[in-house]
Amino acid sequence: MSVKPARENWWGETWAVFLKDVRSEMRTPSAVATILLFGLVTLVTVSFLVRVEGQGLTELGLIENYVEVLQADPNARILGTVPEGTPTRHAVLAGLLWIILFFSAMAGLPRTFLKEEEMRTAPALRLTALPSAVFAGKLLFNVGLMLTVVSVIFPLYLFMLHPWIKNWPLFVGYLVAGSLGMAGSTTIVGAMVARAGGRTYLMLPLAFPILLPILVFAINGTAAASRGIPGNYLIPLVSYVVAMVTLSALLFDYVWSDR
Amino acid sequence: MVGPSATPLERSTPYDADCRTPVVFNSRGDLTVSNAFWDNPRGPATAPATREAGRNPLFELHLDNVTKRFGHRSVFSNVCAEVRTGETLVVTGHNGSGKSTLLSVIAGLLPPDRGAVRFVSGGKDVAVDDRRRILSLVAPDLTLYPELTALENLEFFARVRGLPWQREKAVQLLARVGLAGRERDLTGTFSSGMRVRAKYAVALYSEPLVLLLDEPTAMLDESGVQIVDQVISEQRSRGILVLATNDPRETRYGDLFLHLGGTA
Repeated sequence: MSVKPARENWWGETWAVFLKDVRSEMRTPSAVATILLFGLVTLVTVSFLVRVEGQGLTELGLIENYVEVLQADPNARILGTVPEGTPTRHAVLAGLLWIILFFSAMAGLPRTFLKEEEMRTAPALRLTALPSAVFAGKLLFNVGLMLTVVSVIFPLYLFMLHPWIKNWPLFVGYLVAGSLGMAGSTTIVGAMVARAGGRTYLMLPLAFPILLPILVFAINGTAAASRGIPGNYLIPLVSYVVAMVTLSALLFDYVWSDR
Repeated sequence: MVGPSATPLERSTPYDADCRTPVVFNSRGDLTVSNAFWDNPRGPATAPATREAGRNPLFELHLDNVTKRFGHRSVFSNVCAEVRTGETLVVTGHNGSGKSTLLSVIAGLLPPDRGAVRFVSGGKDVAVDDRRRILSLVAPDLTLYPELTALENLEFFARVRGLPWQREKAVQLLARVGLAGRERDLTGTFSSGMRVRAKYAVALYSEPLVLLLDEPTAMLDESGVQIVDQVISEQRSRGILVLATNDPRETRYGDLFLHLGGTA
């Protein structure tokens, strides 16, 4: 009787965690229902606001080509004093999109770890699974969940808010990179909150500093992409997301395990 | 055996400066301490001399001066034990004495504040990451996934441990613990006794070298108790068994005893 050297099957173990979470979510939907409901309610609420404001802004001349209007007639009164950098409809809509996605993510993505602690299944998982496989499996699940939510919210956003996107590939690039960043951030912060006794009020203050660069790059990037102007935000965004996820993976063992 | 595990059999006193918690042999003739309090209906366990002669060096569990505190409160301190293949360590003590905590420390779920838990195979320490394949724990605090079926729970824990998934073996295990025909039912719909049975199936799937049982027959009916009897008998021939209990029906399995929270 001896202990044979372990034959690692890290991907298989990661996939097992991912599939377990998918199966569990399909049977007792908590995270996806929370995120979708939150996202939809926010989107509908915002759509009423922006429609009124949008019409108002258009009537006032705050439209995407106001620069051309100013060039044609420097004395034109476009909102009286509209300085450079004032949020245009593109920027406002880009900001609203990410606000919807941010708060939806905050409401649902940490559930994957909180549920383990609430259901008291975390000790069995700690006992049997490699911490790195747990992190990767949960990250995969959160990425899948976030992209699913985006695939539902974004078409509705297009339909209800008419953002007039000019550079589609770049816009989708920002959307995907930003969503991955949100999923990555909420995975590690969700684990920290779950370990802190499920104090969900800690979620926002812990996540916000980590998510702030992602939000800044994503909002500016999507605004630029929708206006069709170059904006060098994608590389910094992707770099930040890669660095943040790598660091989270390295630190996860200290968050997850007591040893 | 008493004292640090390096030279356990040379010690003549149950207590020493480093190791305050005695582990006594469950053999009337071999007890070296005056507070031996258990009677073993199965007869003498391996005596120190015969134990040394027949020592199986392949697999051992070592508790080296293990101390655990929660804040300023000391749960137990300087616990020492050495358990070898084929032996059963029974941990007893009043409520709150730290029995379950000790099992959690052995399982690696909680870190000791001082000392170490080591698994030694063929003279070499087993890596921490490999423990999850050789150790199983059945405890009231350990919960299976209620939204998965019994079979899915077994599959998940097998795969996440990196073990090959054998459906037939899992079905047989579930039948063995009395859950035949309930494989496809969600464990969330099980009674508390059935959940315990499912936990045993999950624990036994890996054929663990070390099996830790916290209150092994709690919630089980008579047939469940008989199943646990069989499990314990098999484990004694396969590897190491650690029981945390105060139930006299269960303490009779012990070869070694560890009483936490003072002298019995």
